[in-house]
Amino acid sequence: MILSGKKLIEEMQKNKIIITPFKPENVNPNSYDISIGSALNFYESDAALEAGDDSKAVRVNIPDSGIVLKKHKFYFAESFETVISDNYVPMLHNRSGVARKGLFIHITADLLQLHHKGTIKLQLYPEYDIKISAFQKIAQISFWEVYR
Amino acid sequence: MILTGSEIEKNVLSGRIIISPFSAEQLNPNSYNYRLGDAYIELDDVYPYDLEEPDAIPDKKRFDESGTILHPGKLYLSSTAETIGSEEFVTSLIGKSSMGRLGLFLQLSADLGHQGEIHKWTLELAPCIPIKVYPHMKIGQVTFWKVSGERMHSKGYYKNYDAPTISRGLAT
Repeated sequence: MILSGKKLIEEMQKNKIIITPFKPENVNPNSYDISIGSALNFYESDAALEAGDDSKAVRVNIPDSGIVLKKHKFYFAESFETVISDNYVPMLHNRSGVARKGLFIHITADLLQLHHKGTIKLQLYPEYDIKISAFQKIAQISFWEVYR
Repeated sequence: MILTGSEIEKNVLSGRIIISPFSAEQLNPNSYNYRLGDAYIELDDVYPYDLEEPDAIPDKKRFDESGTILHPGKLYLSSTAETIGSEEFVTSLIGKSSMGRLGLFLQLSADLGHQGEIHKWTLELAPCIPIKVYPHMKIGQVTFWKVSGERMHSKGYYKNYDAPTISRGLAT
């Protein structure tokens, strides 16, 4: 079962889910809005990548004035928040206001693992050029009970 | 837990799930095939979009009964033909594998609906290959999921809209 927003808050209070920093206004009926951090990664060259090796990526800080993601180029980033979830499986989803501007925030990789500890990895793929800024609420995560 | 097709039907009949119009023929073992609406928006590719800001409202067009070709590299917004949602279950909208096999992304990693939002859902269509679509064709599937915990009310903005609706940005 997916947790309601109220249950998410209750489980936060029991430390069964830990989201840092936590803002009550980011809680939705069945999810929590997460923000993009301040760094952005991408591959400068069009040369073939070695599967399993992302070390060729360049990492830049998103300037205060924001950064324009180029259409049909691939970027990846991490959430600003860290999430610890030992009891529930987190899943990553786009937000409708982001998707309607043509920006994918994951590439069919929505499932996180039980005992997740750390930031949430985001894969960004825009259909059109789009300006983003650090700390924007760019995605949401839901939490799911497990069958043991 | 995900609802089976027969549970979806039962809950539609008892009013706990809204699918309108509803046809039992569109039920799958654990989802319901929804249809494409008749209006769409083609987003212009003329300037960098700004994630923070609302977009200009483009003209709505209507899908041609004899088919409308959607082009790769473009984003189209349309809506479900049906009014869909539930106060009790979480709604999730995804594509159909028959459309996926034709290279059509339906929803850009935005599958999760808010519990309590009942309307015609805006769909994002991003084709990888030119594809001809028809109004009211079955284009995606909706699933319903049981919720753990007391219900929280939606503050969603888009729930008030039944037509293809552009992004209002993150600023508000």
